[in-house]
Amino acid sequence: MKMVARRPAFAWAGAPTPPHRMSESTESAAAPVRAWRRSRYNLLVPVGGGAGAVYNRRTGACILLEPEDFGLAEHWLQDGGALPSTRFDGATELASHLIAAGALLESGADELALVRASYANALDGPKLLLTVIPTFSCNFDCIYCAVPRREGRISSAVEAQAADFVARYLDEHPTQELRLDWFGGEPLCAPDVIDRLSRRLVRLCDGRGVAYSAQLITNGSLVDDRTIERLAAWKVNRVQVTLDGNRETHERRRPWRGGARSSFDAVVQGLERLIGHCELIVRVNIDRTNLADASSLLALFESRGWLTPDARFSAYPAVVCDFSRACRWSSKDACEASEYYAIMTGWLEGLARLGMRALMEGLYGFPQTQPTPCGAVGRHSFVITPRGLLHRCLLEAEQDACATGVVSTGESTDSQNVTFWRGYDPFADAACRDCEALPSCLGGCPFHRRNDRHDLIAQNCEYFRQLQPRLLAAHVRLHAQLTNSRSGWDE
Amino acid sequence: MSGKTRVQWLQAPGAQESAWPCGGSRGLCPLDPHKEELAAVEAAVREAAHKLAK
Repeated sequence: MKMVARRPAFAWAGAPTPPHRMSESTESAAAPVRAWRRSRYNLLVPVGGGAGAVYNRRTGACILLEPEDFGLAEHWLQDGGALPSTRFDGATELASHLIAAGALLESGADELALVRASYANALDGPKLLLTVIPTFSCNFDCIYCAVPRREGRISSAVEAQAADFVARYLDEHPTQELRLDWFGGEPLCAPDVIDRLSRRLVRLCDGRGVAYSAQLITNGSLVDDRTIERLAAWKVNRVQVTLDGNRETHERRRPWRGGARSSFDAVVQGLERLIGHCELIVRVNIDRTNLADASSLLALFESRGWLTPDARFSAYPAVVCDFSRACRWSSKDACEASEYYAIMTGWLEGLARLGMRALMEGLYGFPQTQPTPCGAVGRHSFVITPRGLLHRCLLEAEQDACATGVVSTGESTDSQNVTFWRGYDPFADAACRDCEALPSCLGGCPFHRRNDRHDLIAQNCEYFRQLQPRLLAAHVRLHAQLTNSRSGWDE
Repeated sequence: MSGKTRVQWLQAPGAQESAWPCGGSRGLCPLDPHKEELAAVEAAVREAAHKLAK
């Protein structure tokens, strides 16, 4: 992720160039195109003074146009507007950009089919995605934790089975990359498991020419000098830590189990150790009870010197939900959409003005294309629990009955859990198929659908249909405001 | 319309994808975004122009 990149200026020749492969919207036919139509997945964002941006939810492309061009683009792209003629009223250059962005399509193009094709392709990608829970134990007692209080850590036998599972998988499936997330419990309650299993998996991948990288999702409190020394051997290049506010707020929400230590001080010390050794992402879980304190964290991060463009440090607010039966948090404390919008845009503005990577970043609400609704529906995505059970969704890892198999033998093809995940169809819901936000959302979280969480599904719809366009507008307008010069325009 | 088009590409097609639910940052699951450079944009725009010129 990085600060917004501008397209390098290029001289517009206007003359045809040799054809070569490009996006599906323009590659298909060799015959002249007679008619065009607008994409149903466009979002148009005025930024003031007549200028504006066009974003396409299927391709994820976003272009910023000056007033005359944006006016014409609106004329072409808005419902009720005039579709462009074959010759585009002489504005073929503008049309070329809109076609490349996916905002204009050949009249016969089936956009839903393109989204379906993208989904089918993403299900069978060349990456093996593993989430490993080395232990369910945790030294924190967070009020919203979705993982039940249970003990158990990966045994040496399960370690060996997990390594064998990966070896078999890599031998049987063409794989370019293994990406692993260490999750918990608190994974650093079992550093020896991480150490041994990391070394085995790295060796397996090295021997097969498969790239390996890992992310550690930790509360940060147990990060010591030894942890820092081991990050390279573990090939952990990204660490995610959660901090929920100032000391009082954090310790109310995320106390050290038994109150033995200050959880706030321990997390901040852990962050100090980690900074500079990996990409570091701080997640700030927000609800109505900590909005003000969460906002104050930017000042803390700045005072520590972490908010510099080269620090590889990001912090973002995330909403709390009652994700699972284990969660003790009450949804009556949930943020309203307007509260989430306010804190997100406040952070976006604060970070962007400091020169941090925030504009056009998914972490801060800029829309992302969604190849699948979740990694869990992919053909090559698994969660491994301390007991050696396989799951697809880590939110189900608390329930052994939801396992899709065991790591020693793989997934059970006759399991109804496997049937659910392998057969999951984000296009089954007619309302989703017809929704203009479909490519950004793909129906939301399959776990919530499986559990008939209509309340969370409705929240999801509200976010993608109403809030996401506002967040997109906030990004584009802030970009236009901050640049406020003609230097970024392609001449 | 005869003026020259002036455009900033803020995001290339397919540049940022989330493999995880809940719009990435809003949810519980670990975020897995990746971005590519905008190098493909120029080629894509030229190709579109080529198509229009046919």
